[in-house]
Amino acid sequence: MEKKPQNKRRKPHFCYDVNLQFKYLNKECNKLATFTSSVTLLKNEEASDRDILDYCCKHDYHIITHNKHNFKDYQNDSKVGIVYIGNQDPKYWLNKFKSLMRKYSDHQDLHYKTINIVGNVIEEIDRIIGDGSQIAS
Amino acid sequence: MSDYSQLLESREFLQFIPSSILSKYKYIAIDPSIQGGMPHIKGTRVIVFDVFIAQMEKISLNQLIMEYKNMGTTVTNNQLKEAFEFSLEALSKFIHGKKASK
Repeated sequence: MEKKPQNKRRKPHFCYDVNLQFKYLNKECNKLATFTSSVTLLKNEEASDRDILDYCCKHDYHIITHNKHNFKDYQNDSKVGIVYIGNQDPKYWLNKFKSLMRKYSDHQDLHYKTINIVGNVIEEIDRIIGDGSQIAS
Repeated sequence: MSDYSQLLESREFLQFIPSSILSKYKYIAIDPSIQGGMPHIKGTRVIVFDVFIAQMEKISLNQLIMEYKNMGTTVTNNQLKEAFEFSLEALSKFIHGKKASK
């Protein structure tokens, strides 16, 4: 019997923007998803927001950033998921992010989604149908 | 830290940073295509206020250099010091600007 090729992207793969808060991702969430710095992926320390998004779309990496304004002008034409984390202490957002990763445990689950984690609220927007929902915790 | 974070997230303060102060800081730049126009360390995507918050949490410069290195970014002591000084000046301009506008 022919063996089916394994899906390499079962776990979500993220490209994270340069920010000190994101050092916790690899330590705390490495069982739920894979995280690689934008600098490591693009091999460019000063890549523009557009370059990062283009790279991530081409190589199918979701983006995690702290800055709501970084990718807002470009996100509508992109497939990858974008997770914005409000500039807060990791003790507030880390657990929310983990619960989000448990909900979207497959890489494909996050495609075309914009997710804002701000304060106690996780806002999810599906960019295809334009539908949004808020989950307060 | 949360108070600083909320302030920085609002980006309200950006309008109070005069472009003239950039000329004083050789390592700091503002470019709309990088980090959505947030002031950053030239040649990197390191936001100056990220450095400021880390310093307020008493993370040493050497530790910061190592943390950024782990992310693939090279920064120097002088760049980090300047990022902190720039943040202080920008925030003080913001506070004075807010007071004046009231």
